[in-house]
Amino acid sequence: MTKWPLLLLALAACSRRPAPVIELGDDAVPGLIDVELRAPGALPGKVIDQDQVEDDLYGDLLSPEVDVEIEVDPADEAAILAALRARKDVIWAEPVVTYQALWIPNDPDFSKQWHLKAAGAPSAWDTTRGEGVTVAVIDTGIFPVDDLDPERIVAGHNFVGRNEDARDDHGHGTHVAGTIAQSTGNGKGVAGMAPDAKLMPVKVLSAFGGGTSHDIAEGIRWAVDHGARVLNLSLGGGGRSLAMESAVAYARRRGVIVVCASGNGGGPGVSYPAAYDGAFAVSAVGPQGKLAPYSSYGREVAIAAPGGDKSQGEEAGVLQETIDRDGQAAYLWFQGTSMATPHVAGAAALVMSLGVTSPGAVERLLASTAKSAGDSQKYGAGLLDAAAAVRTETVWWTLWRLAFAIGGALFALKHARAIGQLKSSEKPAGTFWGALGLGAGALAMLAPFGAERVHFLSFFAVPPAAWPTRFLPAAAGYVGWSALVPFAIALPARALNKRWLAAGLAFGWAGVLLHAAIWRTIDLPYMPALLTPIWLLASAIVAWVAGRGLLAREPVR
Amino acid sequence: MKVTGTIEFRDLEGGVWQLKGDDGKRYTLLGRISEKSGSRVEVEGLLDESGFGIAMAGPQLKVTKLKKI
Repeated sequence: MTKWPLLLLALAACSRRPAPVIELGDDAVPGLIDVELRAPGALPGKVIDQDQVEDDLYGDLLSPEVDVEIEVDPADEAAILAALRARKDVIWAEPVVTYQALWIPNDPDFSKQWHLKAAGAPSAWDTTRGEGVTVAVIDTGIFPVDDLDPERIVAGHNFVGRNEDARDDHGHGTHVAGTIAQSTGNGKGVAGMAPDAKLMPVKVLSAFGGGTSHDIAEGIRWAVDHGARVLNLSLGGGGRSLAMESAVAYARRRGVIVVCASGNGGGPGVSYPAAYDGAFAVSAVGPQGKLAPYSSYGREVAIAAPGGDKSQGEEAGVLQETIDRDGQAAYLWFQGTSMATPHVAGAAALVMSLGVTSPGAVERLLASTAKSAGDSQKYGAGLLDAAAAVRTETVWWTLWRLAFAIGGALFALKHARAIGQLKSSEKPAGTFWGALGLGAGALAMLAPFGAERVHFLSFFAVPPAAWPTRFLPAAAGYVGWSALVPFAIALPARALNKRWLAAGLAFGWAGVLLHAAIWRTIDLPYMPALLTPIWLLASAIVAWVAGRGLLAREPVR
Repeated sequence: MKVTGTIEFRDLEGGVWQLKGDDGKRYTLLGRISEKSGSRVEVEGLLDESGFGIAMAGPQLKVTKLKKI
């Protein structure tokens, strides 16, 4: 036992030693150098990008520093780098290396999508791409442009023309759909937040971008009834419509998260539907993470996301493929709170694909992992960080589930020994701890290392309790989010002499159920929200009892 | 209703047309606009104070007639 403090100290020491500064190597982009200067000065090569920055670590606190990206001849790069580092006015210089995420999409213009990086999408993709979640785009429709995988566009509806043709005749809806789930890694165009999510086109706005409260309310209900789990409402108005308000409440009660744009009024006053209870209102920021000049704000704002700020230039907008005024496919830079909203909707799809079914839990997770940005009227909980949300869900939640499962298992072992149902010499088999880990969803810990990339194994990123809802309708949630499985296998397991395996699985399952009860991550169909945690808690106890019963060498009578 | 003012193309949401009315209000115009941004115009249309759309910036005016003045 005395080794533990030493090991911890050693770990702490490791984490404090700074890693070496990056040098020219395989990751380096040939010819690109990043230099920080004390003041603007002459530099070799071609200047690609230049920004004033406040460097709190290496610069002084009195005046801003200058960060410059230059392009030089790759052959002279090493010499130029050395020369720069010797200069007095250079604070530091380093080669530009490629982004460190495991999966870098090969979409040629992905590098221009600063907004996806700002929203934390690339690191989240190593764990999940939003598979198994349908996002409804309640907008001007979706045009099936080249860079949208037609396989992932599900049947939609047109409430303007009253028919099934929900193709976009404006451009707005297609752009929004692109931000959510543009085909990514297909070597074409650009990327989207949740590239494996499905898109549901619900056309409620005309070719001029306007629509009625009635059609929008109907569109919301239609999308909920047809399997959407995230609604993207990049639209708004100043009028409070009771039809729309009740439609938003309808969606929430059925486990659907409603993400809405805060509005483009450029001042206080959040537009509807964002201002309704039950909506998740999104304000827009530019590339520096500051509120965009057009963005509306107010106490209803829940979170901020990149919406672009073209007052800083065309490329400070949000880039996706859509159709232009003539109906031709084009990659265009848009700005607006409508562009911020789909970043959050995409992040919600990523989070939901990992097993959360309660919209409230998704909102709490996105809000609690957002980067704090100050003024909550303007930024809500802060800036969206999809990577942090996914990391919390896979790493931290799994640790809690394992802790609950192991705690329950140790308690049960102790109790079984105390009352003589288990000999103290009888140690649990290795399969016991293995099955416990499986039941508690420990495989989710592999997700950040790219388990999701193996497509047919992607359900390993979620605990087995959440597997049924990944492939089956919501009602299948009762199979996983109950003690059914641990109980059903208990009897045959004893007959087959696999009781350690079944017991481990039951304790793991109980840990997951207890976590779901406390974190309120699960919504079950037909069950009132207040009852769900009680159901989950009771199921956790029943699962634990199933495990505890299996510890006895003879069946307990 | 009939309003006079200056029409303006705003690079918002892929582009929206607005009317800076002489009455001090800002309207979002719904309809096909062929005049240049900055033109003085007289717009006839249906006002929808609580209309919904992509612009989310001021009441909507469904244009029935627009003429340069």
